[in-house]
Amino acid sequence: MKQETRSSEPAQAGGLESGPEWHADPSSWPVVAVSWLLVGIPLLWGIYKTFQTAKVILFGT
Amino acid sequence: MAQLLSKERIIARPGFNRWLVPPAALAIHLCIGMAYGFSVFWKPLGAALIDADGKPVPACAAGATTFAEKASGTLKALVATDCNWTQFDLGWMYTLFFVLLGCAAAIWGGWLERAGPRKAGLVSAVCWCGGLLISALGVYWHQLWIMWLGSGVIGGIGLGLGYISPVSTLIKWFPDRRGMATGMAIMGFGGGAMIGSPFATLLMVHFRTPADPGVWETFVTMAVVYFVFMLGGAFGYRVPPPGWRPEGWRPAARTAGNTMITLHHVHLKTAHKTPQFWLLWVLLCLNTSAGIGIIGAASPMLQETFGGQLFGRPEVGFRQFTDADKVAAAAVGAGFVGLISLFNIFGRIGWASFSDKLGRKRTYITFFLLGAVLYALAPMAARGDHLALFVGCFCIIASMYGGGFSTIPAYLADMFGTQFVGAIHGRLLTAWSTAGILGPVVVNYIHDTHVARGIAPEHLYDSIFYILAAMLVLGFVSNMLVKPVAAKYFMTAAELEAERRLSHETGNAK
Repeated sequence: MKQETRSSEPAQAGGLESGPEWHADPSSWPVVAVSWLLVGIPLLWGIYKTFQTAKVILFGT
Repeated sequence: MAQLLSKERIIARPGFNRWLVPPAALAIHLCIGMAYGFSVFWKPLGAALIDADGKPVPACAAGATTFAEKASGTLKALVATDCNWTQFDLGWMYTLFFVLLGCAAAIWGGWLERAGPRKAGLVSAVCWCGGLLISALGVYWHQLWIMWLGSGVIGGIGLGLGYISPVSTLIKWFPDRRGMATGMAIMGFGGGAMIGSPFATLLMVHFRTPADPGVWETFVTMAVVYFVFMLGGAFGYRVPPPGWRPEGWRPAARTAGNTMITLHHVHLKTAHKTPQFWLLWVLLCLNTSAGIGIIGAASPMLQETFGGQLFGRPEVGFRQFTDADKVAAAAVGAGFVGLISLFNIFGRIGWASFSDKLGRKRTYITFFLLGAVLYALAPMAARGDHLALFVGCFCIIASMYGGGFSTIPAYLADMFGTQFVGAIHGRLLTAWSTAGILGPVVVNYIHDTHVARGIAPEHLYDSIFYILAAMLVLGFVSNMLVKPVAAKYFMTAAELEAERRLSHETGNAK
């Protein structure tokens, strides 16, 4: 019986069919951009520094 | 304070932009990822104590050659204040990091699911940054055991909690792009050392004096900077209300005809009873073992295999290197390590995003088959002096090593549902801890045995590559055995509802 409940209620079990659907507030995008810049700038700096080290093997200089 | 950290408090309001969650996760992962970059401290710490002439005093394990002698030296170094630490003594920090990471993630993953990512992120920040501060004291007093306790044990717990803190939150926010979402966060863990290592070097240059290498001051500064970033990440976390879905997305359309993605949920207490959990554990362990040992030995491997070819004098063998040759070869070796790091982090986001299209099982099939072929090809590339081919092989292997980490959370979510995916992922990370010991032991043991037998440097790694290829073949078999989880393991609707009440997920969106 339990087995039937498990296999016959994927929507509730998944909890995904009945939920709300909402749109991101358009005014949130500048905050998104700032958040990405805050983590992106250090990450790009780290990638740049690593690339400088890797240049020796890529270009022989 | 408790209210501020509670899970109810961080349920997103309507209109919240889900693209704010990945940078919060990245802020935490970029900080804890510095664990990979700790070797930048080994040389300055190895010469921390200097004598009246300004020269480093001998190491606690000076003259030790065998493992037992070195281990005995480490025991002495733990409390001695009159001798320097060796790389062997300090290298145990890595073992502590990755063992504690796996254990903490496994032990506190269930707590995290109920407490929420903000509380877990805060605890992670306190442990990781507090551990750095304790290590600073260890360096200041020259007490190795305090450094091990600080960064290794307490920091290692912070690593585990921080690593899994965003996993289930990201998967719930991005049900349409699970791989990409977790790939972004886990890319941060790979990228942490890229930022942390040069940052630490800059700080040590700034703080050092003739009598002090500037390490403890660097630890304190990094602890403060990381704490600010990690707090920003922890307080940036929001969880979606139950049943939230992206605009226009229908789960049924995504899973239509794909039995490898479930709409059900497996409880944390049940997950380890399924064969799928252990098959995925073996798969992660083997993929990681095959990559971690070689990545750790990348620079000496390249130098031993190609010798003078690295700096345009192919007639010079590794054992004939002069001091100037060693410097030139080390620069190329460092470049190889840098290149591998780049492929490792881009592999994390690239392969995980690709798995959203290709499917998780097929992505791992690619890792194992392509990886085995590349490992089998590497000795031929070495014998034919094809440096570019050899480097190319290992760059792709490094990308798949990273991809293995970042794709596994989405694979788990597909198999076990999203309710406990963070905690189940935490338990699976014990495979990483195991691989962190297995991979380097296999590579280093066989390497040292070959050196003792007098095998030529250019052939030292041949059989290692074949063994690692065989590991990947075993991983392939494990992956092929993964089938959808049997219905008997799924939670009933009533059990799920009860669990969501416990996890404070039943309230309406605020």
